[in-house]
Amino acid sequence: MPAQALAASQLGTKLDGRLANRYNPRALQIQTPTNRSSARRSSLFAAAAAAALFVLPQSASATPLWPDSPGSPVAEIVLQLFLVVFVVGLIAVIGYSLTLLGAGRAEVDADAPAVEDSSAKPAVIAGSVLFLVFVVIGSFAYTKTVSAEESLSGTGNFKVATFSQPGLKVAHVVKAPKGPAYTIRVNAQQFLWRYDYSGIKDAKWNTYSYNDLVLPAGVTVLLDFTSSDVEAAWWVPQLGGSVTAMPGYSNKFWVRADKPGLYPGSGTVVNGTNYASQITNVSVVEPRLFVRWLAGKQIEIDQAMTALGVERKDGEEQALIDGGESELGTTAAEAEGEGN
Amino acid sequence: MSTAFEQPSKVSEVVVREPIDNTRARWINRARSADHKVIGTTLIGFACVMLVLAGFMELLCQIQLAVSGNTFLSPERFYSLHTLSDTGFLYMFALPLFAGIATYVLPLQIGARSSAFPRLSALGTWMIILGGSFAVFSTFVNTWQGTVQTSAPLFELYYSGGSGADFWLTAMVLIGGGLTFNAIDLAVTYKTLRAEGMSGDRTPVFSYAVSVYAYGILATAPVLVAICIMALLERQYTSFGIFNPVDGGSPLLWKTLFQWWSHSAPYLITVVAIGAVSEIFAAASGRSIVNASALKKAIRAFAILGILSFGVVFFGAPVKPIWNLVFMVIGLALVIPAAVILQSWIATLRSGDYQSTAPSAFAAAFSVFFAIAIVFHVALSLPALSQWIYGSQAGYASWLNQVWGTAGFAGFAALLYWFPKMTGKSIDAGKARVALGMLVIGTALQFFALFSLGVDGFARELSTYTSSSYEFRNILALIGLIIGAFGTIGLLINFMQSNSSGATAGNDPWRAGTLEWFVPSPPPVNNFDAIPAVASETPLTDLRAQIAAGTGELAGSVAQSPTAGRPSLRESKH
Repeated sequence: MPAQALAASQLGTKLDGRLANRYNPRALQIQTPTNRSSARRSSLFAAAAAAALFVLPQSASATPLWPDSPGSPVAEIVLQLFLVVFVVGLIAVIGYSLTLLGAGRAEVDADAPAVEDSSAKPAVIAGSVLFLVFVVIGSFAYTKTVSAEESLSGTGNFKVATFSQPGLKVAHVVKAPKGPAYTIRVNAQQFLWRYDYSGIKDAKWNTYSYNDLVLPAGVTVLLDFTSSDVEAAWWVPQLGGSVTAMPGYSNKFWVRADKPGLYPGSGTVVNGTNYASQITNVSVVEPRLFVRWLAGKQIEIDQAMTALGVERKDGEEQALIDGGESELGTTAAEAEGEGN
Repeated sequence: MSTAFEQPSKVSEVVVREPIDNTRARWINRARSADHKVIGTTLIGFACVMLVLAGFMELLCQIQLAVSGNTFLSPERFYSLHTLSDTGFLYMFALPLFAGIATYVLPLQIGARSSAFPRLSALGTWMIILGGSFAVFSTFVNTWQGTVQTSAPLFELYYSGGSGADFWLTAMVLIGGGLTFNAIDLAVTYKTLRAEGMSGDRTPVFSYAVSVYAYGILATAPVLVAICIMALLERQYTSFGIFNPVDGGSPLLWKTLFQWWSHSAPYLITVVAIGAVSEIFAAASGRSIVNASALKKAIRAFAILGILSFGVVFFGAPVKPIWNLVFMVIGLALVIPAAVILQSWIATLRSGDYQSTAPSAFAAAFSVFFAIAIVFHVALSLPALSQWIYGSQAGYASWLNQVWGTAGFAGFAALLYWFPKMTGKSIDAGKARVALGMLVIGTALQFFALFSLGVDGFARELSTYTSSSYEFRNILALIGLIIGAFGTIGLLINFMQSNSSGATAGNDPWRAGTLEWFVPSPPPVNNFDAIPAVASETPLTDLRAQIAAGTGELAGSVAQSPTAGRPSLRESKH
């Protein structure tokens, strides 16, 4: 929430009038993602899981037992896998517990032959293999391949390179897509996330933001992670699993946020004392608003650079570095000038 | 009857050569003892002390998390305590506890008069204790954010100044080395000192599991020692460039090697736990273990697959996607041995005359937590889901469940089971059951709360948070922790009270089938005066049958007399 307010204030006040008119502040407003029709199956699963999990009626928001509504295809897969594994797992654990209770209380039949090796073993192995097959196949059934058309949908006349086949390949391994990349570079440092948009066609070389990532809705984006100091991990629960940012390595993760909204995230690897403060917010906006945001950000950065240049010319910056001279009424630059 | 007590010729003549000087202080005798039983109880005692310490640290950390934006602990203090509680639970409590029980029981169970290299084992024990002291010390001298998923190059001098990380890395070297020495002793003892007639298929399941654990430690712990020495060198001489990318090193190398150890350790303690629980269930059911040969194979497969599935923590890391598939297959395959193990337990309980005992109740609780751990193992083996779960507090809950569910239930089950043998006294079973109830409720509550936090987007091991919606479940986790802590402390007090004033247990309280119940309780220094002939996997059951056939009545206890035929200690030099 503070991040959103910050972004809005930066954009709303610092831009010049012309751009402020073009910029739509509503683009960055928080929109609570609601269940989509395409996620109906997930909702049904969730309802089934709720029936299985809750003995006492309680509100799902107070104590959720499954991930929040997904905002990207990867997160949808996560939710589906989660429900498959944990509903099956819950049944298995409860089944085992009941069997254990029953086994302990079973009456011993003295005449019955002792249960020995050969009979039960193959059945158990077959059962566990079946369980694995169920988990793998069951989750395959909900694993879909994102087509190029889907990837383009919602982009309107927004000119952006899209992937020919951002594939969800075999067996839940969410691979980074190949093809023309629309890349945002992400750099982790203690204790910030720096997002570099210069890989985008419409962006200039120096467009970046700290901690707040802005993404166009419905467009597949490749995030390229690295770190400039220690290992960190980036996790936005509604967009997918955590991604490691490792110094000296490039790690790719693709995301396609379908709904505009604000998705909070954080780190998942303890990377120093202020690990808990290294949070991030992903704002997903309509693509045309994204372009405007990029332009606004560039102007904001340019203005800041210009201001910095003016300051440099005035020697104020040098005075700050040298320090201590202002009380005497002469800055370091002036002193230098007098010397010359 | 004489055949049963025949002196086997091949059993090693290893005995304790130095007489024990009773004029010395007890701790000096303990320190210089080469008796595997003294070494084992030293390790167990150390583990219990570290459990209390680590639990207290965990409690402080959870108090910090009870309220959003809490300033009870600074982030520096939080992570130094959190590092101690995490590494304390696994490396200073769980591993030494199981190593201690294994060191104590293994020679007795396979009919050996001593372990193979008792002095090596003693060295290992004192290295572990010294290492544990270093780790505790490190958290008080300087802050350091180690945790169980310590990452590179965070431990480099540039990011972690001061001596905290030096102490911690040295502690890891000492503990890893100590566990390795202990494991060498266990593996060689199992391999060479088995009683005559105890072929591979007649070894007790617990002994077999201990040998699997020992080989597993030998495959993993030396790696920990090596990388921690490398890290120490890198901190001293910064241009080494092993793990630091600035000098051309690779943080991924550290992650790989560290996880090779760190991911395997919980599976290795689980292996010992499975062995112990199998013995307990068999004793409580009054029969031998059903499917023992399949169970042993499953234990071996469980250990191998558990170690090899270390790659599941790389699902979000910059490695080639093909490895995701490889580790997914390895990880999922672990379900098969786990199912065989659970089936074997159920069949044992079902086909025997099950009488619930305090250890078997703990063992049953463990088996449920074990089943939950397997479900989480499956979740963490599916790349997309694993990436999501592992980084959340649910991933941390799964780790806690694996370590604490194993050590806190199976570990205490094993302690309760062999307590009469170690002390000669009976435990107060009623109080132990109350403690078990508190432990189950507390652990389940904490686990549920952390799991719910995790799926709600609470990242793992945060020192603070801003959203007040997380408060209720963190308080729930705190309550669970407190209930569990009371249960644990009650149980430890029960152990101490029973040790000093418990009823005499007798030598063979559970009517179990393995050899350790043959010797007096507590066992003499040389363990066995005479070693019974082993003709099956349950030699004591055979012995009872022989006696019953000879006298016409069923013998209750067949253990050797506490004094008969036993030479005094000073005369036992061979």
